[in-house]
Amino acid sequence: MIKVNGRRSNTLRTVCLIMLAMLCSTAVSGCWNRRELNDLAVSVAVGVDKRNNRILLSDQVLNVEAISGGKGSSGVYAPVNLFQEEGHSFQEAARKMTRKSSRKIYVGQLQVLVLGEDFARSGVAKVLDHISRDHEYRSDFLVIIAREVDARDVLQVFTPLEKTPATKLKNSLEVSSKAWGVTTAVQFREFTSNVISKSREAVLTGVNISGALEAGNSSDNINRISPSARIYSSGLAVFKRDRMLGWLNEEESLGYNFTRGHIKSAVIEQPCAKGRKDHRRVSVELLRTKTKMKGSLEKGRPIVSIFIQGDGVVTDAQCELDYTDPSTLDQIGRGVNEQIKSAIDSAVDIMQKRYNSDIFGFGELFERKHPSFWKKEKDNWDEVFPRIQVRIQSQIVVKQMYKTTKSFEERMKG
Amino acid sequence: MSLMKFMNQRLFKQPNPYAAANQSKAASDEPLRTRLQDNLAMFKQALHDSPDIVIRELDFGENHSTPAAVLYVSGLVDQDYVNQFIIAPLLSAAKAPEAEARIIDIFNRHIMPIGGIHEADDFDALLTGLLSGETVFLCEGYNRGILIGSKGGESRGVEEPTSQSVIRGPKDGFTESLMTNISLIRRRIASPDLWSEQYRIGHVTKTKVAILYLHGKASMPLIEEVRARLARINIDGILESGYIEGWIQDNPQSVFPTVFNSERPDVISAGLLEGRVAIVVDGTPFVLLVPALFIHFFQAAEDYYQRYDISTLVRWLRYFGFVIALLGPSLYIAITTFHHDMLPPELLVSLSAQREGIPFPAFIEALMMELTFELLREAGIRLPRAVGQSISIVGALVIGQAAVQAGIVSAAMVIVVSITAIASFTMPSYSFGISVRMLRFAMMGLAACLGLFGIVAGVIMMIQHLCNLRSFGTPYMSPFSPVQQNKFQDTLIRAPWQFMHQTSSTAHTRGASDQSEWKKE
Repeated sequence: MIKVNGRRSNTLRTVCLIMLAMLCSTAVSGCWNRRELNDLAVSVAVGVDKRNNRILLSDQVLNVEAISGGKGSSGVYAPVNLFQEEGHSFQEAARKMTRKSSRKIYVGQLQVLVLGEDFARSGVAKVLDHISRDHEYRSDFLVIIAREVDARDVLQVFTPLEKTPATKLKNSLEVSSKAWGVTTAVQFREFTSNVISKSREAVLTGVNISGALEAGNSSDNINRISPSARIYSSGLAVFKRDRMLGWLNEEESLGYNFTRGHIKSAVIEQPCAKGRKDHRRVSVELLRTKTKMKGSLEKGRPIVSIFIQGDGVVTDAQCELDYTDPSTLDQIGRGVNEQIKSAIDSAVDIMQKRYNSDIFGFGELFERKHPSFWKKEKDNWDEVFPRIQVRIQSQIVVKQMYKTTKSFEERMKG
Repeated sequence: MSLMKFMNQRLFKQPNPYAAANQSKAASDEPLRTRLQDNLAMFKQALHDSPDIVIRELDFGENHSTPAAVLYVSGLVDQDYVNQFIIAPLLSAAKAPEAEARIIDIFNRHIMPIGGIHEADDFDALLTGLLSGETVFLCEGYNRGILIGSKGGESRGVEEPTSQSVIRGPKDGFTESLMTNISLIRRRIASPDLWSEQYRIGHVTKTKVAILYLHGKASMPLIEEVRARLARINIDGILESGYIEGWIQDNPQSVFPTVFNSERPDVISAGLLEGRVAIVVDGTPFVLLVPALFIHFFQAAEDYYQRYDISTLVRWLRYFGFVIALLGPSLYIAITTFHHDMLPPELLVSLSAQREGIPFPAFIEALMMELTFELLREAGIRLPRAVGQSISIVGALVIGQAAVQAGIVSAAMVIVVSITAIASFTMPSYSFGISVRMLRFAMMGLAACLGLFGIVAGVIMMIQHLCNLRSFGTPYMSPFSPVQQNKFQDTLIRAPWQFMHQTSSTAHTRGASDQSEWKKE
């Protein structure tokens, strides 16, 4: 006969043990976060500005009914509302915000953290600590800098196409960093690790508002075909430790992104002929670009070599050239490579001479390849970094010209 | 177990009203008399002169000199058959019973043109035979009775099974007749090794119960275990195989069935071929099959009739359906009340907009909807067929639209409940579906208290319990736990027949299990 009884009492005991374990674990987990969806104020963007010695915290909170368009309320309310509060610390301001909001602000869906330029220049560490400590925050939201404006202002602009401004910020940054090559989408975890790291400094994309600031704060803004106020990205902000130092212009930003290998696809244009006063241009779209960086020591002197590889395609030709001739393409390719070199050069130049901040991660290269050198020099990297010799090799090969061979003007002439 | 003992003692130890009657009847458990009228009086007394008992007296033998009687229960016998093949030959019989000769021999050799005749000398055996549709012959000066098989009367024909239908596959289903059911199996397995044993279970009903197995395929310990468990049954009446299932199942506290049942002869035959034991109960089309393991409840008959690839995919779909049916509402509750960060932002926006103005927490909302659905389901089964359709209209309107429009439940919850309902109907076995239905509510409770953590804990407990279960000695989760790698052909996948050489029987099998060898035997 089967020994049913013995086994059953075992089952019972195990079940009891598991129940006990569950009960205990509920006691120690400490976090009893049962909240219904309609008890939440979902914050999608947080802005931080400096107000004297205090922090001005702005929370962009979703107005879900307005967004999902349920029950005919669409367009009546703003898709998001902004809650603001000042405080000595991030946490204090966040908690104080419950005075103004009827629901607890929930940051688990945060998409964008906007730091005001003034605040960023005064150091961001005090904000980073709370965000990286609190369990509710994710670490995959983007961090951007509000250039010349307050973060608060960026968060109160009605945006076309996307109903929530935060989504607009996030999407446009992600799209342009892929297709344009001048911006870069930096996630919170990357930003914090760069701030902490000694061998690499942080970079963030800046956004600015064009047009009338006040007009952006009304739904009229998106009722116009051409909105009065727009958010656009402008340049990269460079950091040293947790402090922002300044801005890179477009060329330098492009150069920086090349060193990072961030360029998936970009367009490089150049004049048809060098030196001549001719406004006509030929544009090359870069495909499959790859970047390799190598740190080496030559007679004890640190040298960084940067290799760029990739293909180019002629996408816009205003010049009268014989594009079927391989030497023409070679010539265009040389021009492209020179442009890339000069972009990288200018980025390295400004970082070494003006900001003295290792945003390229040269330190990392030596840390990996020449750890003893890094160990010796890491404490006076500020003196070493400006003296690093940077060698750039760009090998973009222009191979195609897409559907037509001759330029349009040539075809018009017959 | 102490609980079980307690229940046995307190709940089931009621005074048995029939026990006393049985004892008083023991007086009639004596051999028959030699006088016919005494015997007839005994029958009349025992059956309380019931009007459906027909006592046809006749004179029998040479010169019609011997008084005799034929007894049968009208309705249980085939009336034409009794008239034509029992009464008519008796009336025309010329040979008289010689004093010393056994009447049964005369019957067999000279009188009755039919089979199924046997003799009995104690009253109880005759009474049981009579009440099971046999005809009793008694005659003067003979202290034995003769039972003549004459079972007939009204019964349902073989029809398409209603509880388990297939697109492709045999369309015959079991009926309420034990013999028909066994014949349906025997038609499929024309093998001398298909052995059958018959029992009568139930103090009052004396229901015929037969066990069937393939000799040489089913293991002896299994067969003995089945016999032993059947012998342990102590009940007045068996009206359906569910009574037997309740008595022989391994773990009565478990929500999971450890006995398989089917209305389909092909499914039962397949089980027999795997070395399992079938239990056929008279009076119900549902035949039991043991041992029944977790995987058996996911194997539909059609899996074996369609191509193996589509069968495998469909089986995966069914496992998926099981997970949805079990966890659908609880996952929704857990994610929307605890883990908001798991939702994509767009979904979060649309879900929370739907929840705007809903007065109840998600758990109560889900509970209400699930209960409504269960009510509809129960009503749909119980309602007279004529009004059955109105239920679906009311249900669709109440669940589907009005509740959402009135702002009592959110539209997303309706979707979740509907998907769960649909998924729960993919279970091929109704009895397993019931277990899932019960557990679903437990999971919802856990999800509402502890979120995903609760669900995971619940699932772990469930798996632990499943691994601990046994069905007639076979671990319930085999071949997954304990792992039997050579028996995976018919589990998550349904392998092509060529690869099912080793029969994937998860029951203990004895002897050769290779298909080719099996043919040779």
